[in-house]
Amino acid sequence: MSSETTITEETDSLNSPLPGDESEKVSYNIEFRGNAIEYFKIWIVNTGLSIITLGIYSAWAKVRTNRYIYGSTFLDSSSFQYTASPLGILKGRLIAGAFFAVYMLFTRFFPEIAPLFFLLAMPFIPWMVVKSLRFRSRYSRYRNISLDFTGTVTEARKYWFWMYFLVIVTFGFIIPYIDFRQKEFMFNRNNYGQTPFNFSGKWENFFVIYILGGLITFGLVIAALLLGGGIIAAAVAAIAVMTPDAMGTLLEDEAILAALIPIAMMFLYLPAVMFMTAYKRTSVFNYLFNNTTLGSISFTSTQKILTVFWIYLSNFFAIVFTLGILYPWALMRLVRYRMENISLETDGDLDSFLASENQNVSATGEEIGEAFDFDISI
Amino acid sequence: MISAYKITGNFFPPGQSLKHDAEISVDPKLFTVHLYNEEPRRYLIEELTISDRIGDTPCIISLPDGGLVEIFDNESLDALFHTLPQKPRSRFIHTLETRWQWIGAALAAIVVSLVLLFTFGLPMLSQSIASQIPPVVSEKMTVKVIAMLDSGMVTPSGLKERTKRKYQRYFKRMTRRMAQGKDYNFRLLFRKGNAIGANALALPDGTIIVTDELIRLVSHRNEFIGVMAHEAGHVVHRHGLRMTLQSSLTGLVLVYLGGDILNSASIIAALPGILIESGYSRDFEREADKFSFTYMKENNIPSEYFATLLKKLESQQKTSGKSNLFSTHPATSERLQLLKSYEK
Repeated sequence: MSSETTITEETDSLNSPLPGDESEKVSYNIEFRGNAIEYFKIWIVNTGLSIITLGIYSAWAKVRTNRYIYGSTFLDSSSFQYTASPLGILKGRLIAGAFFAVYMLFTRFFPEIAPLFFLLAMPFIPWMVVKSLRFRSRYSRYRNISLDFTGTVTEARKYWFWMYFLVIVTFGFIIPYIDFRQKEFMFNRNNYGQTPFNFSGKWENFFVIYILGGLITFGLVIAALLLGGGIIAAAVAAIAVMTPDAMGTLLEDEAILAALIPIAMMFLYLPAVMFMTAYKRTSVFNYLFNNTTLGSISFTSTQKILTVFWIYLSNFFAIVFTLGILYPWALMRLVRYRMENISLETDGDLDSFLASENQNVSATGEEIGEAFDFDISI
Repeated sequence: MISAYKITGNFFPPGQSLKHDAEISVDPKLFTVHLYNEEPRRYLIEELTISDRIGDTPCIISLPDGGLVEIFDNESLDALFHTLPQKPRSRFIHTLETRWQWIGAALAAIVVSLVLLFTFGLPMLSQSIASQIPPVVSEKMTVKVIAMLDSGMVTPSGLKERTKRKYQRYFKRMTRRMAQGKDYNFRLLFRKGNAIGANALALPDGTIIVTDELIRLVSHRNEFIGVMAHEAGHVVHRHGLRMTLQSSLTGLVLVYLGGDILNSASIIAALPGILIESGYSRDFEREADKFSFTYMKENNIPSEYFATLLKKLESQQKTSGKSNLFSTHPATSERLQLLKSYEK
């Protein structure tokens, strides 16, 4: 354990309430002890074994990764625990993989039928969402108490099916509201043991987040277009003026030009896309946590949009330029920033929570959601 | 025989988050949790569920009554368990994850399998799938591609009917024997190439499209036959279907590998895909060149005719400046060299 840890623990114990003094608020910071080198080794072995076993080990790999991340996350010197079994995940992956392969082949050979495929899948989305949320909750544990998701498919159908029809009617203006209702459903149907989470945010604030985001996007697109057009024109002009011969060879060298276009696009649009992602995720994440309570506990999340954007951008280039080798470092860095910006405040303690009855939940919903890149994270 | 040392940790009673400071000790059969001011709790070791070691994350021991023990000192715990005959905690994967030689082996395995997968695995797989695909699929794909081309890329041919009939005759004579007993039917279509210039395209069901610009470059029947044999090679080797399958599979593999790393940037994910695909298509072109050459040799047509046309195509592309950006043919000089090498 590092010296840093000891300091944090000391600060925590200074904040502890004196016996008998119950009105005093106690605050706890989440501490992330994951380490890039330690995780690098786990990740390489995970990937190697997954390839050698033709993907079968990937279910075990996922469990080990999640257990490492949960187990490295500490609150009041106890760690979180991920308790899912790899066999359930393997089953889910096989089903999800089959679906995904069929979908891919459809889009290649019968592109006109592919949207139909998606329409057919639509009614199953609420089911997948609920399955996936339930799976994630039931297998997350802290201090011998598991989370428990009690939302039903019937309710999820409102937010992940019926409300989508309103999108067409309102030309999309309803989207922030739907997003809000979905997040509310995800938080408010979650219990820690028998104690429910209570998210008391207002949907109006999601409109504020979206409208601000829209304005920023508009500004960024204009800036990117001006900047990008200028750079390309300047580069072509420079080549043409200095070396007319080189211009000819450049045009002829098809591979270079073919590769140049996506690279130029990448340098322009990637930062803009990343900024928007950072903006939206961070604003929503902070808003959700800052308006949620669990019994007498209230949460605070203090992530900064610019810091998250910087982490995304530098992580991306670190991963691409090292052909993936720095992926573990990048992941640990992002998770650490997210986690260490969450704190809890309570006038009671963390000792008095009681467990609910546990059940086994199939992993299928979560895995199908993952294969289709279906965003069920917050 | 009770082990001398004890290890500290947290204990949680069944169904509660109430944290107790605890000390644990083991003897060959029993696992004991010592609590302050309480009777020690004893459990049979075989009834415990002990979490595998992952990095230095805490070890979680689930007790049969629903209680839980959380231990932070992995080294001492493993040393303690090591004294037991039954070795209750699995360490196999953790051993792989901590020795650098195993990590190096895993890294090597990853690189080698990826190279093998892209150079042999996917091409072989798509070839075997392509041979199973019913002709209906190729016909549908062809109809779609022609519709797409006709919607703006190419326009109706401006060649004289007499010229068209002449080349149709050459084409029929050439392909008559090739399609016998096969599920494709060769036919020749003429179009004005415009943006694609002097070009010929082979579609999966045996349809070959040739542009007016290419026909105008032809100064001898055998030049035309050389190019058509090359395009017929694409059809016979099912390159259209195989390309479609290979790029689908490449996409699938790249998404699977890089999905969580690169999901925010599909452009970068597409880049290796483009490079791998243009590599595949060059292989296909070589295969088609070889097919053409074999055909010419069998029919006593000197391969110089094909070489001449390739050279004309190259110089025409240079002067018109209509070099195709996404062309995926090998360099002409390389192709001429290969033609010569087949001759020997």
